[in-house]
This record gives sequence, C-alpha cells and structure tokens, in this order.
Amino acid sequence: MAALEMIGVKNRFVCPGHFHVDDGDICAIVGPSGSGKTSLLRILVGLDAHEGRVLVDQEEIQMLAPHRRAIGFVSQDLHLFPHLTLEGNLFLAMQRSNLSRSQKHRKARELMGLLRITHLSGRKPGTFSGGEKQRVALARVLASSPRILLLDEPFSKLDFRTVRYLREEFKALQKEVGLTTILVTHDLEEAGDLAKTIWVMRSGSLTASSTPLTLEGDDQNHVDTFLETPNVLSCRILKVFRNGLVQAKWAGGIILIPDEGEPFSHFTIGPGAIEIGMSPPRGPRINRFKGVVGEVETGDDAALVTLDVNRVNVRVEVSREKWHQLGLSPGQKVHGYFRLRALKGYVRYPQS
Amino acid sequence: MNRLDRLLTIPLIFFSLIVIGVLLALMTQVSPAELWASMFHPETLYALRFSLTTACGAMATAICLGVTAAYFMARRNFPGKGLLETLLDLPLVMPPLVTGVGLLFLFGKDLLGGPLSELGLHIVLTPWGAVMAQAFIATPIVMRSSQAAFASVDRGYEEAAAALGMPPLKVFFQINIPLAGRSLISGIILAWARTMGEFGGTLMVAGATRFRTETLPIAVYLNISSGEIGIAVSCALVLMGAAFILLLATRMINLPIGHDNKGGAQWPLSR
Repeated sequence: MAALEMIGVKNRFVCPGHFHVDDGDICAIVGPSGSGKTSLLRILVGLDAHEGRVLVDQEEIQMLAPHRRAIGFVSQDLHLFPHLTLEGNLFLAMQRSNLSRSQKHRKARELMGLLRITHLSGRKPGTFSGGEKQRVALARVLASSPRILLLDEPFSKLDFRTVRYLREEFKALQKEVGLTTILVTHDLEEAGDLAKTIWVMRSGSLTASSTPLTLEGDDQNHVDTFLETPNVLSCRILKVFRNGLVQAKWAGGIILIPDEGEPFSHFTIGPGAIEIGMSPPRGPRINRFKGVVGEVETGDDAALVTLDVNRVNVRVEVSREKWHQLGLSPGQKVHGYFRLRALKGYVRYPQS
Repeated sequence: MNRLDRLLTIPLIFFSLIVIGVLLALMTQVSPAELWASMFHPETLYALRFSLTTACGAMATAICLGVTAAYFMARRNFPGKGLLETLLDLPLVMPPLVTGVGLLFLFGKDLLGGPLSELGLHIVLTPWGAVMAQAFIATPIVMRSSQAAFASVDRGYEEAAAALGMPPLKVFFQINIPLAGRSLISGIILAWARTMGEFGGTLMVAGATRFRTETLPIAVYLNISSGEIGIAVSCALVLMGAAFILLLATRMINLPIGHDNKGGAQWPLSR
C-alpha cells in the first residue's frame, strides 16, 4: 500500500506527475543539481505552495500546515538548534506528542541509545562533529514521530569514511524502525546502496522509476547518461598511506583517492562532483588539475562541459547559474577540483 | 606607528578631548558638595524615577510593536515593502520637535484625543504623553535592529522546527527570539538609551511641569531656565551615566548565536 502519493502536484519549480512510495520502503530521488529534488521535498513538508494532491495513508494533507503533517524533514544543513543542548533539541521535537515529561525523558534516552549519541546529551550542536550532527538530526526527526521521513542529501557534507559508516548505520536503523523514507541524493551509488526504488528527476519531472539494479544498465530509461555515468579515468598508484588514502598519478597530476583496500588502475568520479572555476580553488592543494574547455552542451538545468586534461576527456556538470557566471567557451583554460569523497578506485580492470 | 597612523590619531585625540571637555565642563560648574546634594534633591530623584517609569512604558510598547512588526518585515515580501520601510524609518530622522507637534495634533481633541478621553485616557500634558512620545521614537529603533536580527537568522531553523511539529507561535518564541536574542537585546538597549534622553517630543506632548511630567532632560531644561545649575548638572550627569552604562552593556553583548558557518565550499560551486 502506498504510504505517500502525489497526484497532479506542480508549482513553478516542479511537476513530478504521479509519484508514490510504498509503506516501509526507502525511495531515492536522484537527479542533477537544480532539477527540483529539494523543491519536491519542500512541497511534501508543506513549505512551498503547489497545486494538486498529496496523500499520506490515503488521506489528503496538502491543506495542512507543516507542523500538522507528521512528515519529518532533515535538510542538507541539518539546522540543529544551536541554542539548545541535544536533549533540548529532542524535547522540542516531541512537542507534537502528548507525552509527559518523564515519558519524553525516556524516549530521548531511547533515541540517544539507538543513534549512539548518549554521550552528547548535555552538549550543544556547536561542539558536535559532522557525523555526530548527522546522527543527532536523525534522532531529532525520529523524536517527532513522523509518519514519513524525508532526507535531503543527508551525507553530502561528510568525509567519505563517515559516510560509509553512517550509511551502514542508517540501513540498520531503518531495519529497526521501518519508517517510510524518501532520500534525495545526486549520488547514484548512495541511492543504490540505500534505496529499494529509485526515481529520477529531470527539469522538475520525475521521469523514471526503477529498482537500483535495472537503473544502472537500462538504456531505455530516461536517465541522462551523460550526467549519471561517472568519468572513468586511468591512473597509477604511487603510494598507499596509513590514513586511508591512496596517492596516484593521472593525466591531470597527483591525486588522492580513498583506499578501498584493493589495487586499482582507474578511478571514477561523477561529473557533478567536479568543481571548476577560472581561478585556482581555495583550500587544500590536493586533487586539483588544469584543463581546456572542449565541447559544451547546455541543458535545462545544467551545462555539460567536456574538459581536455592533457588529452584526457573529463566530463563536468555545471549548474545553470554557474554556467552563466563563468561564461565558458571552447578553448578556455579552467582550474578544476575533484571532491575527495566522490573519488573511487575502479577495481573492475586488473592492473597490467 | 608610521607617519600616516600618527596623522590619523590627531582627529581621534581632538574629538576625544572635546567629549572629555564637555564632561569636565559639566562637572566643574558646581562644587562637589553642591553636586552631591543636588543628586539627592527631591526634584532630581523625581525626574530619575519618572524617566525610568516612562522609559519602561515606552520600551514595553516599542518592544511589542517593533519586534513583531520587524519579524513580519524580515520574513515576508509584499508590494510596497520598501516604501513602508522608509515611512517607518521617518521617526528616526524627524526633528523631535516636529514629532512632538505631530503627536500633539494627533492626540489633540480634534483627532484621537476626543475619543480617547471618553475612554478615560488623556495623553496630552500627562505622563502618558511622555510615554507616547518616547515610544514613537523608540519603536523604529527597536524595529530596525530587530529586523536585521531576524533577517540574520537562517530561515531553515524555523522550517526545521515547523517540520518537527512546532506551531508558528512556538517557533517564534522558542526558535526565532532566542536565535536573534543578543542582537534584539542590543537594539533594545540602544532604544532605551535614546528614550531616556528624549526631549523635544516629550516637551510638546507631555509639557514641562515640575513634579508631574518632568523627565531628566526636562529637569535639565527647567532648572537651567530657572538658574538651578546644581540640579540641572546632576540630572545631566545621571543621564550621561545611564547612557554610558547602557552603551557599555551593548558593547559587552557578543555576536548572536545561531549563525552557523554552513561550511560550504567558497570556491567554484558548480552545483
């Protein structure tokens, strides 16, 4: 039975068509930046106006204010209340329930135990690490006893080790609570790892529904292969560090890649995980490269740029806004940067 | 210190000397014994009490009106918002005397004064007039600072609170007010300092009657006029002391909490 359904929903950003999630499922929505994934979640929470019907357990909720919908929402920035301790954050989330003070204490203790954050109870969010913040945000949204859980790129700002760990934790948690969940991500691998069904969003429309397995190999579906297929680039391992990173050399220079414990001759990175700009990036001087703009295709949401990096083609997705800002044209020299977390050693081809 | 720095310190020293000179000039007008006696003169004490009372009333009004209006202005967009903001800023730049004349006419018998006096509320030439004049000056100050304070609070917090099941009023009091808190308090303190020193508007609306509508600035004015320099100077010093403490308090209030560095990459955001 569908726990959540959207019928004829649209506003000026999205027009998802008919969308549904079955009770207890984790559903992932993937798509390029600016395609309307977050807008869709905001509609479900009740934060943005729209036409059409939203049904939870066959009951229409589109006329309800956000605080009456029982739809839990964890945004990308988490928004833990900085003036409250962890317990304060959890208590505040329990206002919808009619629990007594002692019951609230008990529930808070249970959730802190479940998410293994009991040691943070008297502390404020400013002192938490990225992974702890993520777990606190999950505990807080669970404290509000939602019927449906919405997660907007929940792991996008964490380092790769924490992400790997949290994904496993999240799967275990989901098994325990069995909450219907919608996960928005631009990472197809993350979607495949966590979700039972995947929907693809392009230009505000949900254009495909699939299981993770069929989506990857299905040429007939509407997934834009340019955006979703990662770059597969050859490299040579130079050194394996103890901190879980591998130093390798590729056409663009020296690169650090998370160590998966196996040797590799290539690495992969999604076009959306590459940053480009006209000047060198700020921050650590790792995983940078220089390239020349080759082919440029402009789509509804994003521009698709092929860079020539020492005669190796690297595909990069640039948001529409960024595209206008940079004003890229063929032959232009640009600086690039790989997000460390998005890099992956490619083990399918054995080293020669 | 280089030559430019030495050159730049000249205006700084000059202005500091002027400020210190004004304070010293006030303090040396009367002997320490006379100043001490004037500090505890019934008129000085009355003016201090009256000023504090009317400032409390004015600030209560200004906070109720200013903070709520500021929240609305910070969170909503509507046609003519810029025009309305400019209009509401007018009291900040209006000469106090003009403000007073306007209030005098508004609360005179021909306009609001008639209906209000039927309800038993007399504004003109009463302590209520002083409260009204001071509130009129304080409200835009509170509103301006509160609007900036609310605007600086990431809207995501209130959206998160709403999604967690908090109704809007609770979100306002339990999320927005605490997150904007320190900036709000700074604005309120500044408005309070301005209210304590309000003269022109109070003079026009409440009048200048000894032991009836005598705020500290009005006590200075009345006593200078009648040659009672001791009381005038002591009232002026009390005013300045209060202002100094209030300004120091605003300085001691740190930056507000709730403005997380979101940690997003600054450099090319292709996403």
